Amino acid sequence: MAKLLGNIKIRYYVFFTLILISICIGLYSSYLTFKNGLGSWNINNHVVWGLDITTFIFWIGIGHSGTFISAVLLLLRQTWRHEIARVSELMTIVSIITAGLIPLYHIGRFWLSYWIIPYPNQMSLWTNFKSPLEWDFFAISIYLISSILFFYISVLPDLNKHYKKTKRKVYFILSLGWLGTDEQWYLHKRLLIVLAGLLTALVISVHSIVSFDFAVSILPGWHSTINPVFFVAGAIFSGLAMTVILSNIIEKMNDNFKVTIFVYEKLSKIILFLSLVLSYAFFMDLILFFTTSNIIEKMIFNIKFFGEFSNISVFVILINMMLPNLFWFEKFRKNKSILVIISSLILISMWLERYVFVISPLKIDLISNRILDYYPSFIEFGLLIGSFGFFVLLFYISTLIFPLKSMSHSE
Amino acid sequence: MKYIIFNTDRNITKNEYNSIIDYLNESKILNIYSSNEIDYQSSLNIKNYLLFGFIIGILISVFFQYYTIYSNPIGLSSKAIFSFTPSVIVIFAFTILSTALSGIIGFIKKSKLLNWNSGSELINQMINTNENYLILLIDSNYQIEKIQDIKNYFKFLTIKILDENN
Repeated sequence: MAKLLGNIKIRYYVFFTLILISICIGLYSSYLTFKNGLGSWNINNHVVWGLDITTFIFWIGIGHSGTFISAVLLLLRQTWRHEIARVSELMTIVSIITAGLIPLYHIGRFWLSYWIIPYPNQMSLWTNFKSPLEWDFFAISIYLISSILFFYISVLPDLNKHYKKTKRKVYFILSLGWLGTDEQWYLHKRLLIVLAGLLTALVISVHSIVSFDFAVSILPGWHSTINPVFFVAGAIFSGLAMTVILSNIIEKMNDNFKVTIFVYEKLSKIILFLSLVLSYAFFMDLILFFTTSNIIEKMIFNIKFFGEFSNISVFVILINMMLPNLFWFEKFRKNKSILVIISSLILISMWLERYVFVISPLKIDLISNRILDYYPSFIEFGLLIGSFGFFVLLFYISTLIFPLKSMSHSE
Repeated sequence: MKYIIFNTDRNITKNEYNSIIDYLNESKILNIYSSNEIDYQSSLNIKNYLLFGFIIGILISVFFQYYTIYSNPIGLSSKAIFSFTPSVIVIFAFTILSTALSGIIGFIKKSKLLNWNSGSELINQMINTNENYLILLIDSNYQIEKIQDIKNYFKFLTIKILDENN
């Protein structure tokens, strides 16, 4: 690790100490979870999905903006994306890996997690294909593989360039003998567009499928057709915020990496647009409250806005729906510090928003209409903190391995 | 086909080597087979690979569903195992993955990747073995003035251009 760090300043040591502490907290929480089982969490017969599923949705969402910037903007011929494309692609892969760890904890017996994979076995037992959790497995694993393939094909020319610079044989092997001939560039461009098309379909489908975990249930508060739209928009919204923050951090740590204010301005415009989409989803929820005759729906609304989660809901409305409106003004769009602050707030707010979304319907006992208790335990918070540490460390290591500048644009 | 022979009477220096590599990369001299658009359309086409991957993806997913329904031990009806949504998700997943993988195989094959002994690696090998010449294959349609450019650029080398038969 010290070799990786090189001769960097003291603030980076503080930064990495924090990461290591968070990873240690995560590992200790994992140890307690696997030793004592899910009983060590505060989930119960009613609130069966707690902090872990919230964190799972959060990380899957973060992964979406990477594909959005790489694939969707590539199809739309947005050339400015090149400055941040590599960072966002790496972020996608690392965040999906991070998200993939969460269900392993939630299973409790992670050594049996391969049971979710449909394969012929001696008992002829198959997984339940009608369960949204099985759909999740298909959607997320295909998304991860496709994202890795897209990233690899996209980084191929850069690996060869990196080989020439560093003379490390491993980069030559990884570049598959790339020479940079006209034919190779021509085919490379063609293939990237095809993969971008496939990934665009995946961007929409994956988080829609994650939203099906909730939408196809019969639980009031979750059972809603607005969920896929809300999930996809929220995913890209939070992912773009993470891209802004990571790009900014890398700019400070790596002198060769620069993102122009023009790109940040573009990102802030997309954040503003997605904020408006989320506002629409929120108002649809509001209309539902006034039109529904379902008493449980009304109770959930009361918990969210007038009960236990009222403070969080006000914070979420302020940050997700009102604060991005500052980006209507050019001086805010072009101010990097403000963009980073708003992005950080968006990340916190989106996590809280998902927490309220997951927990509030589960807190109501459908037989007695009582509101039940759920407070996350230290272990659950520990796993959340650990997931952040794991994400940052893995992302940082991958930025050291792979070139961050895309040369395909300049070539 | 023509060959360009970089005839070096001495071992070339590291700087000279780097300048050759940079020049070759910039001028795309390693464009061995033609640079005209007609050839791109006919030979550099991965549509067939994509179509093949797409069809294979659908076939695998249909077979997978059939096998799953057929092998269930408790006699559940096919509808109880696969309804519309899971069927679509399974077909979608297999098709996308198969198409992407097939496209990548086509890309690797058509663009002659994994050809370790060509191009800069060949030059590298020759320099390392103290050979006193470098040979590059170029397309016969390659403009003669560009070859003249190369001659001017690498004045420290004696350059011969030979046809395929020589």
